[in-house]
Amino acid sequence: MNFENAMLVFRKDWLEIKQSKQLLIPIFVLPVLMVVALPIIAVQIPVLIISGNSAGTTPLSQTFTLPFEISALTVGMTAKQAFVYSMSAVFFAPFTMLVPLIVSSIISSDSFAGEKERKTVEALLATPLSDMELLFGKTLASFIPAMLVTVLSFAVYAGITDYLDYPMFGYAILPNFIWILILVGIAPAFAIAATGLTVIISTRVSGTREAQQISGLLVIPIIVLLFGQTTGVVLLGVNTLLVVLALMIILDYIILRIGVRLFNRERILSKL
Amino acid sequence: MKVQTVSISSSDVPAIELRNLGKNFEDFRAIDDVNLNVAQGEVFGLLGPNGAGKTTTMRIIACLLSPTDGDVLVKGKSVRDPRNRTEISREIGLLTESPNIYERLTAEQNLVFFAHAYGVPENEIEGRIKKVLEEFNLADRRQDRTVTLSKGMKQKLAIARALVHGPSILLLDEPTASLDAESAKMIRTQISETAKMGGHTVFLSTHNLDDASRLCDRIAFISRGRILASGSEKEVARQVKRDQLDAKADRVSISLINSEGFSEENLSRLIAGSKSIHKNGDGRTFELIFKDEYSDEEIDSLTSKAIESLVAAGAKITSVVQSRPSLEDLYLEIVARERKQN
Repeated sequence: MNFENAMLVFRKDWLEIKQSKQLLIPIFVLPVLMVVALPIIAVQIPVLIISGNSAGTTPLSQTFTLPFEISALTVGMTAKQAFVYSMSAVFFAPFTMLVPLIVSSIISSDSFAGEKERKTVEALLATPLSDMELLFGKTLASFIPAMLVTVLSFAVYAGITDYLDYPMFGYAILPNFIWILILVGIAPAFAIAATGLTVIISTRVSGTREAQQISGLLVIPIIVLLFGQTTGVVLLGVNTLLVVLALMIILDYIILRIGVRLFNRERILSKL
Repeated sequence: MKVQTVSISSSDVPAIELRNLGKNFEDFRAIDDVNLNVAQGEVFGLLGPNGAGKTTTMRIIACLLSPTDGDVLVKGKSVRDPRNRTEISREIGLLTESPNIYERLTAEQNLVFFAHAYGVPENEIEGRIKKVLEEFNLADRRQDRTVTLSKGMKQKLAIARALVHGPSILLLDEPTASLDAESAKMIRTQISETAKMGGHTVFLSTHNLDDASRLCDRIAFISRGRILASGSEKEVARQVKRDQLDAKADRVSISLINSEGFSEENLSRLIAGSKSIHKNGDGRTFELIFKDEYSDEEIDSLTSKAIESLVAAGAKITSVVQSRPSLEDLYLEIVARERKQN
């Protein structure tokens, strides 16, 4: 595989992404909502709980019992600090995983199934570029923007969180180890899985929408994690995250192997 | 033992050679035992209705699909050998059925991408782009996003894109489909000029008879994946008439004032080479069909002799109308038969 050729495909797709409002708007809607809404929610909930407690007599520590794994992270904090910390720095962490997943599935659907839909794929496949160069270039074209948006979202989220929470803590609570692990491990793993799955789906379907709908199924495990956290069944502590990361690496390997096997000219054109 | 060496110049090798080509899509036989040769510098047209196998044939030539049976040689190189793919791709400029250009990018960005993808050296890219844009009168739209171009301009840009890497063979799949009459004429002119000026071999698939008639040196009719006839327009017309379309044969209508004195039997004796003679309902006009083996020139000569014989026998001729089925008549007849069979 010639890396220069793969980069050529990446640059072409990158130019296309930058020119498309239909792509840019959905890519930025979720991250913007996440980075603005979540830190405010994290700070406001304890305030609302306290004001909703008519006499203000029940301490927050008695209203919520923090799971053991978080309690260990919040040693020495007041009940309000522990609550805000667990919300901002732990409970909302799975939302960060949604960003690479959604962004990469939007871009890769447009890049793979979208080329079929817009009937540009045949001329692309007729070039001397190899299947691997095309696949790698297009994978980069969805992976890199997904990671850029994820890192940028996290930076803004951390900035807003620290700005709002600094008066309460007297120091910046983000980034912490959980978020760094998510950024450098879990998020790229989800972005690769979403891209790989979209490649597989794109060889079978002829439209962007079908590809997006099916690849959107990857959101389910994250919803499960969020639900698990809310009910206390699962907690995204360091140990859980390491298990998730190991599982995602295995899943990525399987998905990419299948994607490489399915990504060939004949199969793509037969579904045009 | 005397060994005779025969040197074969590169121009002796056909630009495209289809040898017993077959292609299956699961149980569907899309191409069935197709044999064709396209000489270098020739403009060849593959004609047939939708679903006849034209696009599949082109995709196999362009190494996009692999043959199930037989082979395709592009300048002597087999498409079956994966090692030839890069070389064959560079010999070919492909215009697909829809313009296939990236509408979010500018005309220049489209051409730069494809020039790089085909391995055009960096120092030649600017010159090539300038040349094709000028050739297709698109120089002033160079920085415009292609979504703003008209359909005709997009098609011109798509042909420019197919030419930007300097291929020797152009594969054009339905180049005027979905264009209005003016744009179609413009594209035809452009293809014709490109083929003449650049010395390209052009392999054109179309169901537009006008395109084929105006552009092609030779044509082939394809139907249900099989070649029905191939050759020059006249040769194809003759083959198709003989093999498939007796009802569409050349015919001569002769009207006489004194027709009552001439029965069909009399006329058969008077006119040499006739296959059938029928008196029309008006009682004054005879329809004459000559035997299949005659060429167009021979039919013209026999018609003259028939007129002389009739005059000598005392016939007072008021009109002689010779009708010869056009390529379109023949094509439409084939399409109609296909529909009936399906």
